[in-house]
Amino acid sequence: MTNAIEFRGVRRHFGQQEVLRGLELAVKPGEVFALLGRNGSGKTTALRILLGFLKPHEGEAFILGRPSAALTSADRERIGYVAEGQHLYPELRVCDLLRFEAETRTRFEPALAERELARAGLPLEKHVWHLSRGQRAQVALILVAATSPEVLVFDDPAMGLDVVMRRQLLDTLIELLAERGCAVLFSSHILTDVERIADRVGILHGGALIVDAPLDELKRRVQKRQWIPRKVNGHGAEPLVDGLLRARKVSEAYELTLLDLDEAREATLRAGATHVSEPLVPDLEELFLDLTTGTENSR
Amino acid sequence: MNKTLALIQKDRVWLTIAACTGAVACTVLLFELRFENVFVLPGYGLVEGLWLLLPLLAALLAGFQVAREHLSRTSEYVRQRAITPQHLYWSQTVAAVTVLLSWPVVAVALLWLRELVFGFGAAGADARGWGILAAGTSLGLATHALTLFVLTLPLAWVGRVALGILTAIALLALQSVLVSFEPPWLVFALLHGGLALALWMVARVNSCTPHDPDRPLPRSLLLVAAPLVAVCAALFGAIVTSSWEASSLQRLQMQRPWIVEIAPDQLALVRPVRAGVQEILDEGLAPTGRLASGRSLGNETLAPRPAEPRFDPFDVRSVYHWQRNQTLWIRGGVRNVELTPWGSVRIIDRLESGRSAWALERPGSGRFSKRAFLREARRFSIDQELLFLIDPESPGIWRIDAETPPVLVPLPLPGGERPVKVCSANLGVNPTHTAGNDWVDVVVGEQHAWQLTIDGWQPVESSRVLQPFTLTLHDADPFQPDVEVLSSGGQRLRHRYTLATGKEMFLAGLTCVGAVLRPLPLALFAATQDYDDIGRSLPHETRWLFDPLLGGGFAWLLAPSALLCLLLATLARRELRQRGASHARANSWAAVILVGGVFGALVVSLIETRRAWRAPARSAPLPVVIRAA
Repeated sequence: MTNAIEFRGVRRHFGQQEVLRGLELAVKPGEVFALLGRNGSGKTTALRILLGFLKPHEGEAFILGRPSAALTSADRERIGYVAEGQHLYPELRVCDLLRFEAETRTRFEPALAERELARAGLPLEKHVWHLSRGQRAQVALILVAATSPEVLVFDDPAMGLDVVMRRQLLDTLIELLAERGCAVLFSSHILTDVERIADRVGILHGGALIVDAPLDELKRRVQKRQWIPRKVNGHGAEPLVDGLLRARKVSEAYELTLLDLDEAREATLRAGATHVSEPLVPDLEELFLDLTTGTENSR
Repeated sequence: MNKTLALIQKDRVWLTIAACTGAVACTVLLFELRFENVFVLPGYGLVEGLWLLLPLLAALLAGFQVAREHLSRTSEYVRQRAITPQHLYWSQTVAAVTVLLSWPVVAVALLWLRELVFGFGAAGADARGWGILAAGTSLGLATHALTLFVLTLPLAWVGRVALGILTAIALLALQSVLVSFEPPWLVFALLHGGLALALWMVARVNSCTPHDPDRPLPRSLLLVAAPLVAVCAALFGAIVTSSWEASSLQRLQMQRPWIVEIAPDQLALVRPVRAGVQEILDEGLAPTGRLASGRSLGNETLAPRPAEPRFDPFDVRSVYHWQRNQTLWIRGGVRNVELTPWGSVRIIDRLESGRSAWALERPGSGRFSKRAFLREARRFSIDQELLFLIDPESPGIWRIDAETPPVLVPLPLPGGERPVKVCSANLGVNPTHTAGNDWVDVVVGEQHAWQLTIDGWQPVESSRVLQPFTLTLHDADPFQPDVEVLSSGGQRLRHRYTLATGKEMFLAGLTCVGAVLRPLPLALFAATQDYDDIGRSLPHETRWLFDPLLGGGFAWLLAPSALLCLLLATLARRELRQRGASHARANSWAAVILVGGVFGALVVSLIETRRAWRAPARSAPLPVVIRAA
């Protein structure tokens, strides 16, 4: 099956700073992919390259099988995009925005948009500058959803939305679109949302994707253990085992984050320790911290 | 409603604000200029007013057009739909141009409505007024297009500003040449309209080419940018070096000893000590310690001045007399008299009882020359003033007084004398005591001096007329002129200036630097033109095309100029090749530098930045730590 979204070795730098270092990523139709990363890790750059607003310096991005750099206006009709900050024309009323969308997007369904806006309690006659940040975000999301896109790209869509809105609107919209076979790629800093919505997670770090796996698989393969080293000549040993993602020293003990710990590795771990705790499954936030704040050597 | 209308309608708030603001500004301007100055007998004020206001407003409008989506941060929101960037650009441009065109239309309509009720009404409709309006509007359109072109250039902001200034000055230079040929307003409007269209087309390409500071200018744009930069840099360079040389030469001349008439029969070389007091120098230019005061030959006349033949300042053909607008007090109001650029006399009476306008042609030949000027005769009473008009080309003098309707009364000098000079004369006693000044303008004929009175020409004793120096340049060398001055007392002083002091040599050197920096093609052209002769045949506005040194015996400066251009072009080519540019690109920019000289090199360095060619060291991507099984 053709991927709905694909990055092939995309590189991009700003001055001497390399922001993307050979990004490889693919999202299938109907899949919800969450792109995570710290501030400045290149998420927005990647999304802008994907939509053809920025040119990569190397490699290529594809969306709906078309190179991003050559998207036609017909291709853009099939893609929904909400940029970071969900900016709309502040001087227009919501109904003017609906009219504008209806005139400039052939797939736009005004009835659907009006129904969703009414459900969210957003008055059509209000000017955008009178809306709260959260309300503006809702309008932007509803406008995109009403175009029935085949690919949906969100740059931090939850920004400005409260918990209730995130659950009611964002989750509903994304799930609805995904059910219709729409591929969704979104970046977010709210990892609880990601855990709830995403099928697959990617963590962008140092300009490359260091994690690319389904969420349940991640939870199955990664575990945390407390490890107290055996002392030799008064000095404690260091944890040395394959699959160690991060070792954090807490007093005399270590908190280890381990990947794919099989029996042989566990035996090695136990051999150098006075105590090894039972496995704990880390949540996404812990895993994200382990992978993006730990030293590279520890991996 | 189609997509274009939808795109325009979303901006209706801002477009309405722009339309109203511009229309109000234009209406106020045209009301200030007055109806009769626009449509009855168009005046110069209309040209100047429109040419200042419309380009300014047009530039602001273009700036807003470019910034509009950035200000609301909706650039990507508006792009992510079934609209091409070209469609978006043309929709915005058409909307902006419509707004721009609406300004003069609304202003003119309001002016006409008012005049239909209160004033000249439909009676006044001079076609030139429409021509000037069209030309002013076309200038506004060209400015809009130029600003749009500059602001959308895929360069860093410093590059856009620099290239914008360069292009604007180059266009002004071309415009000055165009104006000097006095084209009809329609031609002017068509040329500017065509220029605007071309610039909008280029701006369309620019706006669809996003700026990437980490990549060189795309090849497609290079094909447009390189020739444009070359031409603009050459024109800009010629203007800058021309001003540089003129300024250095003038400062050099002002450094030099003055020639002063210290007594009616004595001329001397002096250096100024303080205001009005000079120290006399001996033949070797050494100070003698003797102080004197007297009338000085303006040192600026020593500098080559091609724009104007070396008439002495009192000669009727001299630029010093170019007074072409005068207001007379007449009973019940004022009479404005203006010599128009199209060779007629425009008279507008603004009286308490109403306004009237007339255009008077030169009796017989139809047009007054561009050197014709107006002079005010001595005032005889508070509401009785006299003007006289002198045309030095095919000489003639006419009187204009308070009669209604006004007439041009021929006023030849007695005895059929030809007017030669206009001087001041000290009559000693003011006969009417209406003014405290005893100096009056007199016309000097071939034999006598004459003063215009209410009874006609009256002779003036030649001893009361301030006689000018007569300057002869035996050698018009820009740095070492050989001059001979004849005083009013008949004494002659001949002197060859040399570069005597370090400061004079420094200023001469500065002038030479200006000539060397002149872009090569224009330097070659200037070297073929005798600078001393061009002022007699070419208008003032084209003076920047010529060079006082290259066209005044210093053609050898072409050699260092060519060497400098070659050196810069070679260095730029080598640098670009080292950075990784293709042969074609490096050769294109080298050619631009050969044409534009130092100025071309500066622009090339702004376009082909180091950053654009310098990629960071490639680092291997971090390994994937967790990949789906």
